[in-house]
Amino acid sequence: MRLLLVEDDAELSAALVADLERRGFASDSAATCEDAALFVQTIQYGAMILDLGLPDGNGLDMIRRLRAQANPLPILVITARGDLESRIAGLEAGADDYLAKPFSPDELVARLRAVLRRGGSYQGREIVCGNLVFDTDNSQLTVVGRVVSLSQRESALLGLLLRRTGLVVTKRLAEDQLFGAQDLLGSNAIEVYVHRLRQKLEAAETSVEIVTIRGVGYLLKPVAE
Amino acid sequence: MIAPRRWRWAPSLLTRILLVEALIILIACIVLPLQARSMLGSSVDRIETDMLLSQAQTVAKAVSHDPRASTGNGWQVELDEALRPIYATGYDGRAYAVVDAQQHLLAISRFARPMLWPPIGYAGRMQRFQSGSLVGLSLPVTVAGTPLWVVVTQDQTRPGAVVDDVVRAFLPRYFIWLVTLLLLIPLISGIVLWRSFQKLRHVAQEAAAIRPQALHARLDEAGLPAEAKVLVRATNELLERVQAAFHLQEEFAGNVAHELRTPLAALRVQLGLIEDSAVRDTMARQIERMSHVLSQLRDLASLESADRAEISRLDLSDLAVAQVAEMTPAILAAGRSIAVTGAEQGVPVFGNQVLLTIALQNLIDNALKHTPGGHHIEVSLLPEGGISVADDGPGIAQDDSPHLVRRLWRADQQRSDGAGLGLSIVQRIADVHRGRLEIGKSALGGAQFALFLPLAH
Repeated sequence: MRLLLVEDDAELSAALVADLERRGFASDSAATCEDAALFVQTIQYGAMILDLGLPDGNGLDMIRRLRAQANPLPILVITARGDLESRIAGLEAGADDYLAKPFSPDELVARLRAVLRRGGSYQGREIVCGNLVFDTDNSQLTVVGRVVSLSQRESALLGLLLRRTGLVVTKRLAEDQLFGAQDLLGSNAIEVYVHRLRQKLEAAETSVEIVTIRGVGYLLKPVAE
Repeated sequence: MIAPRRWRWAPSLLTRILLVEALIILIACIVLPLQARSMLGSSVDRIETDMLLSQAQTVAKAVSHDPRASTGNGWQVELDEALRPIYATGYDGRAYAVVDAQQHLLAISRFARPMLWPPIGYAGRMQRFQSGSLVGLSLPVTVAGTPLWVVVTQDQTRPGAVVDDVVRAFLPRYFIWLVTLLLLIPLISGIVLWRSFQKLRHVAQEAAAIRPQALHARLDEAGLPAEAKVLVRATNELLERVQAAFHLQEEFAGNVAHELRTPLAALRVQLGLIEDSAVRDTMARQIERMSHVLSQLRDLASLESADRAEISRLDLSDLAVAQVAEMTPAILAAGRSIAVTGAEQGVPVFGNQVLLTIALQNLIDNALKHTPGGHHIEVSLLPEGGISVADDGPGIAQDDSPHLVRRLWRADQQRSDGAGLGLSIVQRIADVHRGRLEIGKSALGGAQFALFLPLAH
C-alpha cells in the first residue's frame, strides 16, 4: 500500500518520505495540487498526507473536489495553520484528520494508522500491535500464535482501541460503539469490559497495555520496554 | 534637546473664562453708572434750558411799555390768567425779571431774588447761569425799540421741580439691576461650560479605558461641543492608525510563526536519524520549546479578535474531555499522567468554544512544561461554572502569583520557555468572558489555576 505526500517544502517532504519508509510506508511525493491530482488519478493510494498551503492552490479545494467525485481516499491534513478554526474548516471540507506543524512523527503515524483503519482496508483485515494480531473480520485475537477467546463486546472494545492505538478512545465514544441505544447502561459498564479485557490481555502476556485516563477514556499502546 | 520645564500657571478653561468675565463685570459696574449719570445730567440740562427758554419767551411776549402808566417807568408784564398763579406762589420755584441795558429792574415777579443771582452777562444772545440750587437764563429781547433782557429762574429745591429727584432715585436702582444682570453672566456661562466639560470628562474616562488589547473602541463624540469634537475625532483617527499598526505587527508575528512551522516540522521528522540518544533528546527538547512558543504566538493572534468572539452556551465538561483526550498522547509521552474529575455532570457556561479550548490547552501546557518534577495533572470541572488545572509540581511561591500572568514573565527568571505568555493568554480569555483566573495551591501539593466563567442555568 502506498501513501501520497503532498507537500511543497522539499526538505520536509524528503524527510517525511524517508521517515515513513523507515516505518514501513512506501510513499510518493507531490509538490503541487496539479501533480497531486495526476497521481491520485493514476495510482490507487491507501491515504494522502496533504499540506494545505500549496503554490498552485489551496489543499482544501482539492479535498472538496475529491469528495465531490465521491473519492473515499483517507486524507490526513498537515498544515502550518494550526488554529482551531482552520482545523474545523479542514474537517468540514472532508479531511479525515488534521495535524498542525510541527508535529511529532510518532503522532503523525498514529493518526495515519487511525485514518487508514477507519476504512477497514488497512493491511487487509489484520491489525498488528506488539505481539498481538487482531482479525477485524472474525473479531479474533491471536497472541504469539495462540488464540485468545473474547466476548463480542470485549472484541468490539479491543477493535476500537486498536484502531486508535496511541490515541484516546473517550468513554462516550466507547459507549456509543459498544452499546445500542436501547441498552440501559450502568455508569461503570465500560469499566467492567475494560477490566475484563485487561485481565485477558495480561493473562495472554501481550505486549500492549490499556491505559486508563480517568474521567476521559482509554488508550491502548505497546508496553514500553 | 528638551527645554527645562518651567512652572507656568495653567488654569482650566472655565477658570480663565470666569476670570475674564469677572474683570469685565468690575469695569462695567464702574463705567456704566458713571456714564449713565453723565448722560442723564446732560439730558436734564437740555430739558431745563428748553423749559427756561420757553418761559423766558412767554414772559418776553407779555412785556409791554405804556408811558402813561404810573408804575415802573411804564414797563409792565401782562401774563395770561393761567400763568399768573405759577409766579404768584413759590410752589414751582419759578421767577422772572425784566432788565434794561443799565441793569435796572423794570419788572419782577413776586418770588424773584435778584440779590441771589450770580453776575449775569447781558450779551446779545441767550445765556444760562446756575448758582446753588438756582438755575436761570437771560434772553435778550427788544420791546418798543428798547433792548431788554428777560431773566427767568427756577429754584430746584422746590417740590415742583422733579427732574433732579428722578435722576437721583433712578441711579441706585439702575445700579442694582445692572449688577444683578452682570452677575448672571458668569453664573449661566459657568453652568453651560460645566455641563459641556462633564461630557468631555466622560470621554476622557472612555479614553482611559482603552487598552492595547481592545483598540477597536472609539470615543463617543455625541453631545460634545464642536471644539472638543475636533479633538475627539482626531483621537479616534489616531486610534484607527494605532490599531492598524498593531494589526500589522500581530499579522507579522503570525506570519513569522507560520513561516517557522514547516522547517521546524522538517527538523522534528529528521530527529529520528540522530543516533546519539543524548543529542537527540536535547534537540527534541529544543524543538519542543520552539514549537510551544510558536503555538502561543498563534494563540495570541487568535486573541486579537477575541473581543468580537461569539459567546454561546456550551458544556465545559464536553470541552474538557475532548481537549484532554487530544493532549493525552503528548502528556503520556512526557512521562506524566492526567485525569479529569467532575465531568459526569455537565457544566453549562456561556463562552466561546475556540477561546476556551485555547485557555484549557495553555493551562495544561503550563502544568506540563513549567512544573519540573511533577507527575500528575488533574483537570477538575467545578459545578459553580469553572474548570481548574492542578499539578503536583513545586507550586508557586506566594510572591510570584501577582506577576504570574504578566506576559513573558517567568517564575524562574533564568528560564525562557514562556510560562507567563501562556498564563497571560488565559487571563485575557477570562477577561473576554467576564470571568476570572484564580491562582492557588492544589490539593496535590503543586499549583492550581482555576478559570471561572458565567454559569448558564
